[in-house]
Amino acid sequence: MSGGGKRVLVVEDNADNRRLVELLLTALGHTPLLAASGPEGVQKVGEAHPDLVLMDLHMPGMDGREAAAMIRRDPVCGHTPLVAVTAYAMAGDRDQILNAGFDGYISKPITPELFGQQLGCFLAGEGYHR
Amino acid sequence: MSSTTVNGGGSSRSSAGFTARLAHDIRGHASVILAYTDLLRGQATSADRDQEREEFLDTIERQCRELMALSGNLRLCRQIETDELPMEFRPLDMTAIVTGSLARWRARAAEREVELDWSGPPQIGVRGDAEHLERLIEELVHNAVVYTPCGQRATVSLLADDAALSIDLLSGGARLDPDELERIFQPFYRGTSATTASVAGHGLGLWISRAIVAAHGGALRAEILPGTGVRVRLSLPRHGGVLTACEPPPTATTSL
Repeated sequence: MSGGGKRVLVVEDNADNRRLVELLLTALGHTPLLAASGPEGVQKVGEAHPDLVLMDLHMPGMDGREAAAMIRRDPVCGHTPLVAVTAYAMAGDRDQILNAGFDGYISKPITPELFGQQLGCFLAGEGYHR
Repeated sequence: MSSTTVNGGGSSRSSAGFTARLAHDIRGHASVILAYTDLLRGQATSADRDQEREEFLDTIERQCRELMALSGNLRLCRQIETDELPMEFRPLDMTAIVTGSLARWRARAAEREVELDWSGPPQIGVRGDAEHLERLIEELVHNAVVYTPCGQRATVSLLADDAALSIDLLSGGARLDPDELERIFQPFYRGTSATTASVAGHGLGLWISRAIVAAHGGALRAEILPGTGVRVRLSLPRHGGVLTACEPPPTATTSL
């Protein structure tokens, strides 16, 4: 990974998934920041100004799309790269995800081997879909 | 006895939504299991990794158990939707069911610094299906323990007269939006409080609970008590439940 460690916010309601991404980010030399819900994620983006946000789409209460829309409206942090993490990314879902304000997505299952490459692309500004 | 309100409509649209949510949840569990299996495979086998390996195995086991629970819940959902919930009515002691459940959840309550209070008579007979009523009470007590904010008090009280009993589960300091009062009983609905309280699950528990209550001819509802918390009230007819009696179940109540 070039460019050194980044601060990556993980917004995920499932504790096991959150822990998984935390482990993978740490192993890659990044600093994971964690949020367990959409509102907490929006708050932490404003407070911690992460380099990138990994956001689960399906969360109780405020889901990932709503949280992404709120972050995009923030005049200070609105340009933070947002990457959706979803169990389902079919052909039609791709447009929905991008239209919701995300820069791209990573499909579950998260594969430890692939995760570093995928994240590297997003952190380098590559692999963006718009 | 009727259970006509238990499947909430069953239109093809809601059925499609149900299937989609189910597919999503199953894939979610499988994703975690696969990812942690990958982690284990990629791990060095040195002794200092033992603790991490145990953590990964615990996670895989927990996810498999949640899949098993989901499978059991889906079987119940199917039985509820087709009005084929197997029921075996027999005399039961509701006090014993509730206090047994409270005993199982005391450690979790203590962990969360939730005071768990109980009041009720030493014994209350009711005729009902033991497996379903135990499951119902377990779900309600679990909810009271995990949705009561840390440091607050959960109160479970049982009142009865000759014909009926009611069990109140008051989660002191808990919050619920008025529009969630009915939605929490819909399948797969999980409120924001599920995340706040880090509660695992699929949002099927209260839906199944209400169906079990309906199958016993009772009612289950939630109320917001402003400034106090959220109260879940279970009302059940006792069906002449007397603990010393042990007659076969009446045919009228087994043909659900």
